[in-house]
Amino acid sequence: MFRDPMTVRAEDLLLNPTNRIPVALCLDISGSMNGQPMQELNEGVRLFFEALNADPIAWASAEVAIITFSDQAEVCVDFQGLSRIGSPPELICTGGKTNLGGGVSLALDRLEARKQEYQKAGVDYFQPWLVLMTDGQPTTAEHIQASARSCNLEEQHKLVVFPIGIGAAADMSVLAMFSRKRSPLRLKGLNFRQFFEWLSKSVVRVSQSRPGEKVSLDLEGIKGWGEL
Amino acid sequence: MGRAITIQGRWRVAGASVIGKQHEQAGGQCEDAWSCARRALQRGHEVVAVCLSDGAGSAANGRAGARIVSRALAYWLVANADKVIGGTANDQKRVIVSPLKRVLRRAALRNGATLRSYACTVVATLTTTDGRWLTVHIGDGAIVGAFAGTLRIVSAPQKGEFANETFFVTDDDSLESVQIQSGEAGDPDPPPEAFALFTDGIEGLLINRRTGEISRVLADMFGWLKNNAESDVSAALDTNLKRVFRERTNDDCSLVLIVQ
Repeated sequence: MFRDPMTVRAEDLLLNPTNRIPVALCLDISGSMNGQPMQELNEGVRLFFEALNADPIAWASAEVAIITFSDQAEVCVDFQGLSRIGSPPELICTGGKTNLGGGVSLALDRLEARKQEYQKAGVDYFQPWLVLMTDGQPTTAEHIQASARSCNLEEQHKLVVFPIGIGAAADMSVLAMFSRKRSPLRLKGLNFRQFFEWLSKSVVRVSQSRPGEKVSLDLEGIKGWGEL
Repeated sequence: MGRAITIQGRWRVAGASVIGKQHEQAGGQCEDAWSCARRALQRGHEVVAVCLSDGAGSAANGRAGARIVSRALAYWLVANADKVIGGTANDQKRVIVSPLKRVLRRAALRNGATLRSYACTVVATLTTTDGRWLTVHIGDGAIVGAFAGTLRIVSAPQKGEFANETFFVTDDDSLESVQIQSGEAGDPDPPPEAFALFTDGIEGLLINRRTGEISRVLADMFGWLKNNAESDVSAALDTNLKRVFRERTNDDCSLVLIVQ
């Protein structure tokens, strides 16, 4: 068949993976989260996934991990693309205490491991995000070491941290230890949905950013769900 | 936007820049620009410079920066070919980057803007018909060369750890980030037969980031330019960038070829 000699065939072009944005959700599922807070949290996470799934670039870019903590810290969903996760699993309150530090340490371990996997596979990635949500006070001392690690990464511009308190009992001074750049915000009531909607929009913004572009967060939008 | 000077020489040049989908949807303009300059040397020899620049999307005057840099560097390189090829690496960096930043700084002053607002990356080649060559590179984008029939990456994209981090001509430390390669007749390595310069919009379609594999498309294109008129190849590049490349990237797409 005749083919124009100055025509590129698409199959001769190479394929590289889409740039990834790793987002670690580090969530408190201790006893105090039982009942409505847990229901609202689940609904918020579900909406977060739904919003990311609706944007083609964010859908291809975002990699989400869900790390939960109560007595123990656990990887509920490890870093993977949204096409693999499908819908997020229902998070269940297991009772128990608030091993906040254990949760953050595990999330940072997983982030580090994922970054190494990206590097090995030649996948470009954006600055990782850590979203930390708790409604109480840590019941172990592990948060001291974990917060130092988080601040250190943040200082080197290797991590973006969002510390979020849920309800009046959340210890904001402990949450403040995890970021020197961003003050912790307290969720207004149980506005998980608004928070996760805002978070998904922020992920979409980053996924569309180009080299050299500093993505500014929608500070006005924060007022819809958070307060200092 | 491109401006090729139509003096026939032994190095043939073709190129095209097309706006990316994302800029088009946002009602923006193509922020890439390329230029070519030629000058006769003694004994019938000739020097040719091609320069491609990508204005930073985040910079208010990134597009203007790319236009200024592509033109200024191409003309500066052909005017100063003897000075830059064969100098020491540090001298080459200084004599190339300093005047380039001076031109941008003047534009910034004229417009009451900051130097940083003209942020752009650059890839450029300087080639002579007597076997000397030099490449200049700041930021992302890349330069692939053909040597004795084999393609190799002459200047790889310079990126930070994260996907939206790169280096710009306007950076305070651009003297440190600039990458310069050069060679001349009599070097143990074979002389270059062709170069392809491209911006980050299509880099991921031409180079496998993990393996370093180079798409065979570039070898085909070098063949086009050997066997066809420069203007026909520029038109073909424009068509291919629009129809094939642009469908697979969101960014502006630019590709410039130079073949002996």
